[in-house]
Amino acid sequence: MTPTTVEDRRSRRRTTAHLWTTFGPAAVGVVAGFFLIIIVGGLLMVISGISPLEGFDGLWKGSFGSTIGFGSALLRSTPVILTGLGVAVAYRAGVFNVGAEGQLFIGGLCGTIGALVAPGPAALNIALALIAGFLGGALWAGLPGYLKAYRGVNEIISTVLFNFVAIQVVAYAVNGPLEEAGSVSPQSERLPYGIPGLIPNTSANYGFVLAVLLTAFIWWYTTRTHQGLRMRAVGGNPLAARYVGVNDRRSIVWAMLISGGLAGLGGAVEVLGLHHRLFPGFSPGFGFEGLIAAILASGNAIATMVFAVLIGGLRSGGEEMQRNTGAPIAFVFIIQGLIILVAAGSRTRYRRSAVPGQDSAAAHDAGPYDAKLLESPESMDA
Amino acid sequence: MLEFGFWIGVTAAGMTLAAPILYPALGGLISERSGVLNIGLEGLMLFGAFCGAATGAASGSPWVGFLAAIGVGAGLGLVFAYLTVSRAANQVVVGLGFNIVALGATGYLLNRFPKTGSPTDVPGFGRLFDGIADASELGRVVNQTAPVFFGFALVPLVWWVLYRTNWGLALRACGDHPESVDALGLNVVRIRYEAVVAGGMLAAAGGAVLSLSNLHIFVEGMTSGRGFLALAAYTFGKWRPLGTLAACVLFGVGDALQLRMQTLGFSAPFELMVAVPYILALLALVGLVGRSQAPKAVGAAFLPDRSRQSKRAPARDAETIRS
Repeated sequence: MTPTTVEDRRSRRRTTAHLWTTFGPAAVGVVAGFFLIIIVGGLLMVISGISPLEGFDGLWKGSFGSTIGFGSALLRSTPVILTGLGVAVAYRAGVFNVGAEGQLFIGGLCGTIGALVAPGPAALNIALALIAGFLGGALWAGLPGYLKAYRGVNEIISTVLFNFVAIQVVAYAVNGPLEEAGSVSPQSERLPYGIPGLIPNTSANYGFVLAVLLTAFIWWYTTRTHQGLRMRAVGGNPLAARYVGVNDRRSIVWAMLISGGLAGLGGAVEVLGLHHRLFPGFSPGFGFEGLIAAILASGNAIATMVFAVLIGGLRSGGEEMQRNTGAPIAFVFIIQGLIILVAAGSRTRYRRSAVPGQDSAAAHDAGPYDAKLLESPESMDA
Repeated sequence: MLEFGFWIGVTAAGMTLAAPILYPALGGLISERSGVLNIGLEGLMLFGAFCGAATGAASGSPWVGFLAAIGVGAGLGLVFAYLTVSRAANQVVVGLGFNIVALGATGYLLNRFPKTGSPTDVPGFGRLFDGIADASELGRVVNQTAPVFFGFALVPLVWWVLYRTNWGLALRACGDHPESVDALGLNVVRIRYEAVVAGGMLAAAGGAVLSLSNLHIFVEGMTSGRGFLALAAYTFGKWRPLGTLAACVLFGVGDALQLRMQTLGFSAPFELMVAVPYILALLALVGLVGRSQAPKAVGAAFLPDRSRQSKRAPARDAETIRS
């Protein structure tokens, strides 16, 4: 066969379409984010009476424009990568885990308990604490996962409700059983060991390396293993997956366990790496930032990590800007939300012309009530 | 007798606390029955609460604030409809985006009130029947503000519109099988726009109830999950107005009960008490065993005139078949 048959050209064209559906949303997200930061950010600065030059200078120096800024960007992005990976794994299995924030809180709580209970030396103590954080988050997500798979409870609502419960559980813990003796503010005892620093004179720690390694692992797991293939099959079409013998319910629970575990690990890393103690406001919304990263990346692990680093940089830059110019950090939320809206609004354009069934995001456009597809085939007629 | 008075007080406070959930729950219900899931209720409420408080404070009248909030809700509903109906964007993602923007925008706008960090002198709705409340213990239950009464009056109204008007029939059909509505020559896109805008207005009104009727102040992030409780409420109510009302009253009374127990110095830790409404909502969802009764076409965008836009048809077909 000559290399230029019609089939060959067609398949090449399909590959291009596939590439576009995979990386198109990410590209739109990056470009939209850049312009939104410049235009909306600049506009908000002018309205607040802040020189945009100073503002953008702070934003750049606080994120990627200086060593200290870069370190804090890595620090800020570490929990975002981990929660983002968690959301991405669930996304691949067709589950919208909006509860990463709550799982992160429970992970921070369990990590704290683990670190306070586990023996030394440092490496063992930290490892056990991180495992405790992973398990805590996994269980906190496993419950809504079980409820979705076996009881048909909409996971979007249930995981959000679990977020509010988790935040109150942590508030209770640091005001009650875990409260530091003689402390005025609600916080736990100081942890015996912390994750060591990564770059000298910056706040980045080895948690970031862990997050990068886990990104590679999750990418391999979701795209190169049997279990990952089963998950993606369930995410693509639960009924079809069931007819080829995949236990779709178990895959969903399994995906949620991993998802919550990663988010919980994010909480444990944040506590052990930065604060060295637990207090109620230790997360400024890392779980939701992870959600944004995973959505923009359409559940691709590596793209999720890239977006998480950019989002972490936006936050650390925003904090620097707040210190320098007094511009409110709320501006970061506005930008994040607008990026999501623009990416979501533009995504459909090329998806419509794409090859049907090749879009990983298409699974979700069937709507959140996938539970009805999970009902047994007999009950579908009723 | 103290026991009796206690329960009357809880019921009265429960009605007050149910109203700000009832508005967005009915709004989300209308929107979802037309086929558009609105996860952004929380954000729309937050916008409504802020606009209500800010315009109320500026004008000195809670009514002006209430109407301004409804107007803003309509505008935001239009944006939501544009993205989800016209652009066929993923409804969940757009809703989450709305929530994040709302949190950021209201937080940012609060900085416009540098001295207090909040609009001051927010006028409040007064309770209507102080006389009845003085005359009898039971009167406290009906001694509510006007927006609370409106909220409860909306339940039969929404029921009537959904089940007894042509528009309601078409709207419900849009949620279950938009193709048939289209085949009848009705405009699916337009009906969905109307439903989403109505939902936005109601959600924002619910937020304004919170800031103008219940608290007379705006606090950053003050909705604290009520938009999501509203989602849980109509899901528990099986996408019907009456069931939704029952769920809202349940969550409201649960909230009132935990507040009352905190003030009575009940021995349970207050952080865990605060979580009671959310736990109640979770239990309600879990209790809803088996058959999911959500409108069948929720989440799937509808593309009209597919014969003339055959290029776009394949992807669209794949979606509608799946749903």
